[in-house]
Amino acid sequence: MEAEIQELERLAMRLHEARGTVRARRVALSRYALVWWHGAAADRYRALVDERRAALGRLADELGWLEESVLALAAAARAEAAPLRGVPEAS
Amino acid sequence: MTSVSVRSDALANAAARLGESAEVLRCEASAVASALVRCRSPGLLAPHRVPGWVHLEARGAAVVGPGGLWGAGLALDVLAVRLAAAARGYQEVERGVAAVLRAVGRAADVAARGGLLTDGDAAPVLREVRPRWAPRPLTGPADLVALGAGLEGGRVRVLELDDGSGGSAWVVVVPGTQSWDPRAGAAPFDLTSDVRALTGDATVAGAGVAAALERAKAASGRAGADDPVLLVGHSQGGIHAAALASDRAFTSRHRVTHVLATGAPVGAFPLAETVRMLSVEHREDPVPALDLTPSPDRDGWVTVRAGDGPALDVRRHALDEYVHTVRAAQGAPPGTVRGLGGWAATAGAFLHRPVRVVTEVVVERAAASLRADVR
Repeated sequence: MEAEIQELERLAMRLHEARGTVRARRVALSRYALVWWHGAAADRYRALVDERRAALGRLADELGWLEESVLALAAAARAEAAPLRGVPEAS
Repeated sequence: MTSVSVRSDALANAAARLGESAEVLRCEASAVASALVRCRSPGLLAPHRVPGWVHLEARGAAVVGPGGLWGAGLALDVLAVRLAAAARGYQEVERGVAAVLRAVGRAADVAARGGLLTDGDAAPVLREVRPRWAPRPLTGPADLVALGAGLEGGRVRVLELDDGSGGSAWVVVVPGTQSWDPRAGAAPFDLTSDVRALTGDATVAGAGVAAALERAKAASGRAGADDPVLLVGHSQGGIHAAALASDRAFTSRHRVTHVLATGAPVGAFPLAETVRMLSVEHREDPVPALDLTPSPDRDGWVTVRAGDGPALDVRRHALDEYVHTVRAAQGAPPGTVRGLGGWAATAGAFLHRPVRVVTEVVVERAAASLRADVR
């Protein structure tokens, strides 16, 4: 059971890292706004960048919620497993 | 007027960075998916916690898939592809003229020291050729624009028209850029002329156009100092037309009353207010905006912008595209295209008039020592 709980915690850590990556890429997108570029094509491009930044913001939020939920599940599983330790398995 | 200020390399770099971000997000999707799969153990949880896990597992799958990390990566890829396409479009134009326009005169002077973008001591040589255009009355601005077809090989077309009062009116048709080589060759309608014309310098091409008109006038025997002259040109031809119309040396000998430019950056030329300009621009065509100068907002200067973009499309720079646009515009109900009808109304000396003579000459660049005005 301990190994399985550790997998849940690893998943939570993976989700945490993914959230950090998504946030960093969202910030990086701002740097690709190409503010010196003008014209209709530039306006359309910047509108698409804004859409992508908003989508990455929502994705980061979802990853954060999932990380917290998985951590809570792992903690609950660990708490339920604790009283069972020391009890010999049925043969 | 749309302002375009672009470095295609910067766009291409941004597209590359977007592509890298897309790849990073896809890697994250893969890593989260692997971690998720490793948690699918039937003995992991007490039975009452299984529904909660199933819900989390579904949310985890969603955050990995098309609505999550993988989809976000794909969307950035799409953005990168669009940006890269825009970069290629701009690069195509920059290869021709934009790159050398940014520092305008100074850049041209620096390049000239290396033997590029300079006419040196060259002079125009004119060679009369058989006209390719069959005489017929011009019915509107679209016919004037269409006169630009068939001018390959440095050909300049001059029409002498009956102005309706016994005198003559003159239409001079200037070709567009025919060579993108920055080193001046025999054909004068090249990149050197683009740069020199836009920097306000005299060019062999411009001098050749002036010489072609003067030669046609001299041959006519009917030319008068007050004859109205209409200059029409596409792309580089439009630049030369505007440059000549704002050149005092030229206008002191020829009474330029009208200029029609298509797909040309002409906003910077200081045309006299007596000259009526019609500039036609496609919004998808980056060339008219290369001078970074808005068209003047004044009486007598009509700018017709067609197309709604948003994508850059250099194919819209083609002469045929402009002929189509102007023909559609002049066929629209009166007042639909602001200024077009008024411009055409002032061009009565040129439209619906019998054509007296068509002269076509090939203008070539030759060293001054070899100059012969007419062969």
